[in-house]
Amino acid sequence: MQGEFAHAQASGDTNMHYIDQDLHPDYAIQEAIVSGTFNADFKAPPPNFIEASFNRALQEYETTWARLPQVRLARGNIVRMGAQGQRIANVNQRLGLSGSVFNANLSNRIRHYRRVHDLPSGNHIDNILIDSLNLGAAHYINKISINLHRASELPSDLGEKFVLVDVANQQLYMYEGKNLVNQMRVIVGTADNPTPMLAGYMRFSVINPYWNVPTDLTRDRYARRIINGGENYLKTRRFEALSGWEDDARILSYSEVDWKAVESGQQKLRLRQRPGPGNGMGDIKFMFPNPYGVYLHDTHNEAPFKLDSRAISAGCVRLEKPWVLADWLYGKRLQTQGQRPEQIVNLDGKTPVYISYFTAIPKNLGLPNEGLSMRKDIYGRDARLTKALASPFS
Amino acid sequence: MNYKLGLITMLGAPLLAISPAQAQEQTGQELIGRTVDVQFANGARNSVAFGSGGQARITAADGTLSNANWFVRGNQLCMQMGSMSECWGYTQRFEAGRAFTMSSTCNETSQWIARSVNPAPVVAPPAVEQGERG
Repeated sequence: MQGEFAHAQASGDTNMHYIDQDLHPDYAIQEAIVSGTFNADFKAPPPNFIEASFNRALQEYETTWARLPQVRLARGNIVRMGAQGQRIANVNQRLGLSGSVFNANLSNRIRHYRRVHDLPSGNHIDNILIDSLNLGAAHYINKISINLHRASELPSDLGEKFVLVDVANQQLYMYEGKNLVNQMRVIVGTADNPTPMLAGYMRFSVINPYWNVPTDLTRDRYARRIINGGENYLKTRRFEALSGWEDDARILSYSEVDWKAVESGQQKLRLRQRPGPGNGMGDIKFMFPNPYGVYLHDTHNEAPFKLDSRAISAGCVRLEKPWVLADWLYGKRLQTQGQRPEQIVNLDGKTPVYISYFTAIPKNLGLPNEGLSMRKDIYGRDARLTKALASPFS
Repeated sequence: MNYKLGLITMLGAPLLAISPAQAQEQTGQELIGRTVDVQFANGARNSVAFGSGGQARITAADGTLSNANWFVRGNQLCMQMGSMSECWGYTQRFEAGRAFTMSSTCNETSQWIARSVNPAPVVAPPAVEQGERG
């Protein structure tokens, strides 16, 4: 499959894509089927701890919040403790309390609701609270359920040491078993180039890498710039055109390439950027070869990490602290060999990398539930997943 | 499935009505976590939810719930309830919304329609992308 198509296919859907099949949650079942042991005695592997945490969160949510009167509330001014009247009575009713006075019970209830629903903390009534209450329990149960499904797409055993990239939260997490040991900000794909959901093993990294530009990016992003900027654009941006993807490919001169044919898609060209300043991969890239061209890598443009919204890449995951990840993965500081390009450093083992997309997730995974973290659905995947699921067990 | 019909009177090895050219070994992977609606010739309707651990939940039209086990054996999709088991020929993946007519050795005929199915697993990953998306 051509990578460009594979990427488009993977980024446009709501499924997890498995680079390594033993990371599929049904792998044990498939193995049992193949070995003839998939029968009534077969015991499915338990849910992974993220899924288990979701299960608890869903159960607690249904117990605590789903059975309350789903009455619609009017928006209005901020109200604080001590107030009374019909509006307070309505909020009390909605939250399973009685009376028309804003007392300590309601105050505690609101504080709890805000924490569970990831609203700004406080014990007051404002329109953020009202809007959330008016979304209703069904909205949040669906949100938890579809994210529980995403968790269930991860294997039962996530690994002794694994990397979880939450694209919706634009954050990378480093886990040792159930313990979160570090995290960092990441930059993910734009809505037009969404980062797909992937599961695969990281096997090696490359220091001082070339950036090999996928042909669709060369066509759509760079061909016109090169036509406009001429040979100078190639030189200043440290790009090279090559005769092919083989190791012994020849570097082409500017005039050897029909750049308009590249722009129109008639000619597929290998374009790469030399290591060094401005390289699109930065100083290190972490490899888990996959058909989608999506990797974790450094960047020399660090300013966007300060942004709250960091969905600006072409689908790759750019790392805020790549050397922190490297130290953790290798258990030591990697020694670079000068400026030599493409220094490949193998991992002793293989570390699972899960790129998922959680628009809601329990706080304190694996620990007593303290409510949910809610995230923006930056790719609009929730509605599509809700439609796709039509759960038989609901 | 009217489970009295489905698991007790439909014992045998009925076949999915497909051409031999389409036949291939199946795993049941597309059914895990999904529900199939079954309609019998006598008008009875059931739904079968296929769990991931081999458990199945059968809901009759009147809401009666019944637990069973399911598994795939060779080219057969089997249901087991207590000591009773029944298998259907199963040589083609179910497709969401597509009716398959199945008949049993008791000459009971039923239509099986999966409400949804899991996508086929990728057996071999496609070729590695040439380049990194950045």
